[in-house]
Amino acid sequence: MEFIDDITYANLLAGLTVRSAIARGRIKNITLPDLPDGYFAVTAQDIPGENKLSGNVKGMPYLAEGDVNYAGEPILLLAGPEEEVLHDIAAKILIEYVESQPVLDMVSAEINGCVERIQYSLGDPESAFKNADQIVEGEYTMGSQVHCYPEPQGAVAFWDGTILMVYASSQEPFSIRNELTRLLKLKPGRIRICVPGLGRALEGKRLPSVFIAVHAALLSYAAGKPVKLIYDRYEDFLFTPGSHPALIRHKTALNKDGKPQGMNVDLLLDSGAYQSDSSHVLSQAALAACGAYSCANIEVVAKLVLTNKVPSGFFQGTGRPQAFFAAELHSARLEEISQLDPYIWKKENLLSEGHMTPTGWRLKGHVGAIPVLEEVVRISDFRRKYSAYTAMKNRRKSIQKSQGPLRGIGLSICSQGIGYLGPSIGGDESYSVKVSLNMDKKCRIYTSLIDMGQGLKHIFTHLASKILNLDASKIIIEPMDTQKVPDTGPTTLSQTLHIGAKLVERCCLAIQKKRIIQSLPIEVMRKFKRAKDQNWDPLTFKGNPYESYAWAGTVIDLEIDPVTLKSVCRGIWMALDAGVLWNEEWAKEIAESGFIQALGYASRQSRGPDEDVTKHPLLTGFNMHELLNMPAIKINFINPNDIQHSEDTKAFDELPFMGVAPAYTAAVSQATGLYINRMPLTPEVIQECLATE
Amino acid sequence: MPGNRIKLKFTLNEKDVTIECPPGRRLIDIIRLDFKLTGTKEGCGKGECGSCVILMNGNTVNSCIIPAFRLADANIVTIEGLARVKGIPDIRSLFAEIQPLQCGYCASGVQMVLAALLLQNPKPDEREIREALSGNICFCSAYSGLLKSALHVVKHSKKRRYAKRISG
Repeated sequence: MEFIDDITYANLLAGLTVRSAIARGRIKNITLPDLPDGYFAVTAQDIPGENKLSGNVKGMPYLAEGDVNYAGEPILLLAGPEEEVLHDIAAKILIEYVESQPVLDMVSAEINGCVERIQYSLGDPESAFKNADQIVEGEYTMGSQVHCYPEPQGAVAFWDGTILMVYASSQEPFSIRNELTRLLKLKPGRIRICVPGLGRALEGKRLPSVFIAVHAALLSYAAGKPVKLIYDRYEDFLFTPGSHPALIRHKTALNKDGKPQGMNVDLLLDSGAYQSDSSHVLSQAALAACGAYSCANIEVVAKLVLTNKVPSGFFQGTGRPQAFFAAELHSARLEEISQLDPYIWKKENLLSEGHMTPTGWRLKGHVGAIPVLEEVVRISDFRRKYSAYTAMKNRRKSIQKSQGPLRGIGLSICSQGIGYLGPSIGGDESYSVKVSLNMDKKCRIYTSLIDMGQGLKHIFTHLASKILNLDASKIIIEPMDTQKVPDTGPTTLSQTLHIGAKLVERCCLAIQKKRIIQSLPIEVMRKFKRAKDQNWDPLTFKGNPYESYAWAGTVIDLEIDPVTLKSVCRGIWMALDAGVLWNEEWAKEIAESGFIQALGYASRQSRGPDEDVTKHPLLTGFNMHELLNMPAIKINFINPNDIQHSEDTKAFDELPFMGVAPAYTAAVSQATGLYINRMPLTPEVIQECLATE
Repeated sequence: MPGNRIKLKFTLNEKDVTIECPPGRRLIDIIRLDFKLTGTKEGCGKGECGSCVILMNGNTVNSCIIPAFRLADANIVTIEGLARVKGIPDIRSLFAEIQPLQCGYCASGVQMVLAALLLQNPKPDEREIREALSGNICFCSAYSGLLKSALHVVKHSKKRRYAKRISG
């Protein structure tokens, strides 16, 4: 399979990004050395159009001009035949700054004011807290984490004077085309974006991929030659967007029986230097702030701040992992205070049919929270192990004097909302798919969605084959080329199932009908229609924000070495309610791979100004699992009936990222007896918590 | 020889080749850029992930950390030449039969490691397969599909040998 770095041209130039050395300030002067023949430099002044990303991004330039707002912000680009020479030139460039004091932590940034705020409430939280018998508070923090996709960010561009050809490793090829249309003032027909093999992007090849593709295009536009711009792993780790760091404060009012009467959640997200996609992340985090629990009186305040750090971006789960992490860890505290088994506490407090959600929507019909709880507790033998490990912990004098490994088990429940009914983040009213049945009796599917290992080829082939009664070998998914396929939106599993599969099905059903009365070839295009639900108000956060929900219960059983504080998972169980499945085996593979990634997410180093990863971003430091140390994972899908229509399916790819981290942290808390309120949870963090204790 | 360049002769996918390059040039760059064999992928550039594994004198090496000067008279096999290696089945085709849900980026490295394992141990059990592949990181974490593919290769490998024994 071909990836970006495999693309080559004759006379191909290498590209290099020259970045800001300071976190905040003003560029006073740039002095370039004399460039050898065949070498080119591009600055902000060379961009024909407006030097800013469009869409949901606010004020973020492609190349810094005047102000710089984070260390590593691109200032200028270089291209030339030899990469070593480019590095020599870069070392000789003199950039003079007038430095300002950067803001590097969220709390300081909050004092200066937030750039966006969401607030909503349910019932009468003020009275609930006034009349409470006990108020439990907790503060939970999450660092910024990187995606670690297979191939680092990269693009190859060639402007030949007529057509701009761009090969991009991107989930959003049409966003690249739209940006280049604007920046270079070219008609869309003169820009062609192709995506070769993408690799599992993990939401990391959305905005950053647009950024680097535009940079490669700018270089080629200036040079008139093909340019390849690829970040090495180090540069990618340090300077591309990671997840939004979060600081979440929970306050819960309990009655004399320990039952929650009021919830107050104050959620703070760090957008980094610019608001890139952060509004959507904030709204999703705000919606998940109370977790999967029911409470009659709720107040949620969600805020976004800017700091002088690398801009945050999309990450698996889009803000919900942070919210569920805090909600689940806080519920673990409430369980402990109530002295109830977590299963019993959760069963009494989880959302179910008839309950009101935090946004004031009364749930009707099947609610998967309690079924997944029952199933995961059953298959993991959670209750017996939880009692046994609690007894072990209570008998222990200290961790240091422990005779054997420390044992712990954690449980979490989470949900993934599907089909957000709020404002479209990418113009989805124009998303479409085209399908044709040709004279050669082959069916061709045209879509901008790419198979990056999420099963797109399997699902679309299965659909077309079944409806059109063709052998799978006769179904062809056309290569991604913006001049040949329609825009079906960004490639994600959710998009594949929720939009792509439905459109392919509708096209194939239309062809099936037309075939009776029309000769071949037949070509059909269908456009996505958003569900017009009048029950969701994105301004007041009232109503039902999603078309449906998938649910997950996660249990992790682990042991910790009392000397090294390194943990090993002895068993992992997940119960998933994801509606009907295309293929249970594929679904388990997807869930399992998400689970393993999420486990790394829970225990990886995060990226921060003082942490090791900025100095030594090695893969070994990211605790990536491999085949030998892969934990045993048991995944059960509840009610995985045979699929009849694509309408019955639900995406579930984000559930591991919401469920694994809190279950893992709860297990470590039980094993060590420590109150742990942050992630990622490395042995060093456990050591710090021990020292504080 | 101009500057700091050396002349090296070695075998690449059963073909005798010669190259002139700086002594520290990485093997992965020689394979991908000089000989245009792009099946080998670079995942980390630091010898950690196993994406760039090739066979050097019958042993697996991470080509991103092998300097050119070690190539003198070496026998190099890349993923493009794997099908010609005697004593093992057509691993690439067997992987394609399973069609695991993977992006394919780490596949080349995995297949080379599997080839080296089968050359040394024609009948590895699951534990031995896991140990052999412990140096290969699948960035998608699609390990169950990867293991399924590896077991399929080994099973097929055993069948062929049995068939050969039968046919004498």
